[in-house]
Amino acid sequence: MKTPVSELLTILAQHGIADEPQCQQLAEEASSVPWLAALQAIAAWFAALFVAFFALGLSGGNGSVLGIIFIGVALWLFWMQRSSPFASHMALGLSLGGQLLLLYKGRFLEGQATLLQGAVVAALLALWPHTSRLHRIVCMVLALWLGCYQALTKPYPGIMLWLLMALASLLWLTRRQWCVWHRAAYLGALAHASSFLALALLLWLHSQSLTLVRFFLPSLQQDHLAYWVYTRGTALLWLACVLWLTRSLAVSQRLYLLGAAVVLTILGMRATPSLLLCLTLMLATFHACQRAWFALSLLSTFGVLGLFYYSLHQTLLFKSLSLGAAGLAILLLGWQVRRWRLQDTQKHKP
Amino acid sequence: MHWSLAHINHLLRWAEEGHLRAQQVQQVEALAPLHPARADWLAAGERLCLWGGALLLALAVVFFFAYNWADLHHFVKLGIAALALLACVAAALAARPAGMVWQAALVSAAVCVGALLALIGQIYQTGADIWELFAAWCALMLPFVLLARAWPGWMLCLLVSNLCLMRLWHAGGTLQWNWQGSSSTPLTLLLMLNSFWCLLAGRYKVWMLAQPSHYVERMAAALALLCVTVGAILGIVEIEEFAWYIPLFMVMAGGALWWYRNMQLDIVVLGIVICCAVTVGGCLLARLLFEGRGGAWFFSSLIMAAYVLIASGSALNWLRNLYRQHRQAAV
Repeated sequence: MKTPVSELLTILAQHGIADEPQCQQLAEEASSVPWLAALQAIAAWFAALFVAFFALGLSGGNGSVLGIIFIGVALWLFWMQRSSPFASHMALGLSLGGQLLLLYKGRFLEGQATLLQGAVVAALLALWPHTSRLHRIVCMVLALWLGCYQALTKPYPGIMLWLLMALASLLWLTRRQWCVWHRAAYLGALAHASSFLALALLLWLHSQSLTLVRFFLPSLQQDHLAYWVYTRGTALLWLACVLWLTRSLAVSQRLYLLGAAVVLTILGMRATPSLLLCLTLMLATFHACQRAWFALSLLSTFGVLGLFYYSLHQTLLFKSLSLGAAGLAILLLGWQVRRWRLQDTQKHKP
Repeated sequence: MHWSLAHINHLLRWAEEGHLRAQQVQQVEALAPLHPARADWLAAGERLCLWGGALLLALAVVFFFAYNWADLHHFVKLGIAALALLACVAAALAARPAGMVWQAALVSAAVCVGALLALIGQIYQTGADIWELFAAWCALMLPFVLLARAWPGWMLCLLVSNLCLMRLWHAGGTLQWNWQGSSSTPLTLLLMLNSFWCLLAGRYKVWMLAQPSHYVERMAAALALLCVTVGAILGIVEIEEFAWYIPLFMVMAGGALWWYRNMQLDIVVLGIVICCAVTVGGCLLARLLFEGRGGAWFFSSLIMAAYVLIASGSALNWLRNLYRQHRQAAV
């Protein structure tokens, strides 16, 4: 039984696109599965936490120096032994440990300036050349997270969520365009990091508060403004995504799909705008053929639907009617898609 | 020619990492576009819309009943649950045996049995404990699960049987759970149950499932390993009742490593075993390092960090090599 990678390498070799050594290198590069990378990141994070515990016993200056030494050793390991997965894992743990030491000793919880400095350090490390892909992603997550943390202490988490989701969707939708750029590896890391943080923030916001509205701003007047921006922004992002993806379709099909998208927008904006964000990311990741993030967006959709039951800003009757109408609209769309599919099959029959 | 979604993902990732040059990407694109084909969109769209629409409609019904629940008569409530069960059975009878609709209808019937039992318990206040509800549900869903021969049905059965045992602890009596070390029986029972499920799913896979799948066996193995890991950790933190779990963990983890490495290669289960082994090893080391160290405990945390990095790094490296060998063997 042939795997997708072996099939692909055979095609590349047959068409003279890649020679034998390059095929071997490509096969080597495809030897990692997402769940192994996730396990590696979790293990490195635990190691970094132990390093941070160690910092409790050090004075401020010593802790910072040790943090810098750890980061230096990590970068040296990446430079010297980048091809060794073991050294790469050690370097990831040391880099994260060093960053946590710097953050802890900078007392980041007390000063916003230190928080920003932490984000800058993480961003610099993410942009550092000759590191691993996982290191770039994890550092990018840290940089974005520290930025978001500061935003969360101010009253704009909904806007931050929208921005992260818009960034992730934009990057996945245009993946083919930027993948050949000189700095594409960094954009790839940014796409993964923003997707992770956007989904995490989305579920966290919904699980933290029974009322979505209450979460956006402390005062009622500001609440309305932020919620207005969030819902309109969400609808805009969703419609823009559908509009862009359907640009090459026939007018009648495009109108049908846009009509369905508008119906979902009206229902989603009133009931749960976050569902539209999940759907946007699902479409974008499907377009980019990113199976892992597509599956996670789908799971997040289930999560948002589950938490929707407990939200107190609408009655169960309203929720039931919204879901029923959306369900009917989606079933109708599914029926139409099935018809198009059958028509295509008929056309391609000899 | 057209690229599959997995092909496109690999190609774009290689291009991102600089392993394919822009010119090579153009050559690849000349063979077929590097985005999902119309057929892929339509196939995925149809499936998602049908399942998503059905799910939203089902949720709309659930929300509606939740809204009116207090006002509904007992018979109406029971009637709805019975009607749902009958509709599932009717759908299965109308569908092609062993097809997807047949399986989905029978698994839904298994879920409806639980809803009906819960409703009867709620309306008539039978006085039964929740574990009895789960036990009855497990027994009554079996015919549907056996007929469906689908992994979601077996997964439901596995989870409900686990819930049944867990609720049994809370029900009191001889199996009452006590963290302070009076009894390791509940955990042992859970371990035995999941080991039984693991053996069953591994040995009689062909009988249990119409299409080959590892999900049930993996889930049962993960739960069994979780039980023995928790037991070993409790044994390490000096709860006498659980001390025998430490050698048991070594035997089980060693056995699982040997079996899933040599007899039936499964990298996911091997990954779970490795995680459990690193966790138990870490607890053992933590006990040795932190016990009675007083003020020097922060140096011990540095050793712990080194342990986590070295152990997980070596284990992940080994798993990655295994995965590579497995893939090469498949070619």
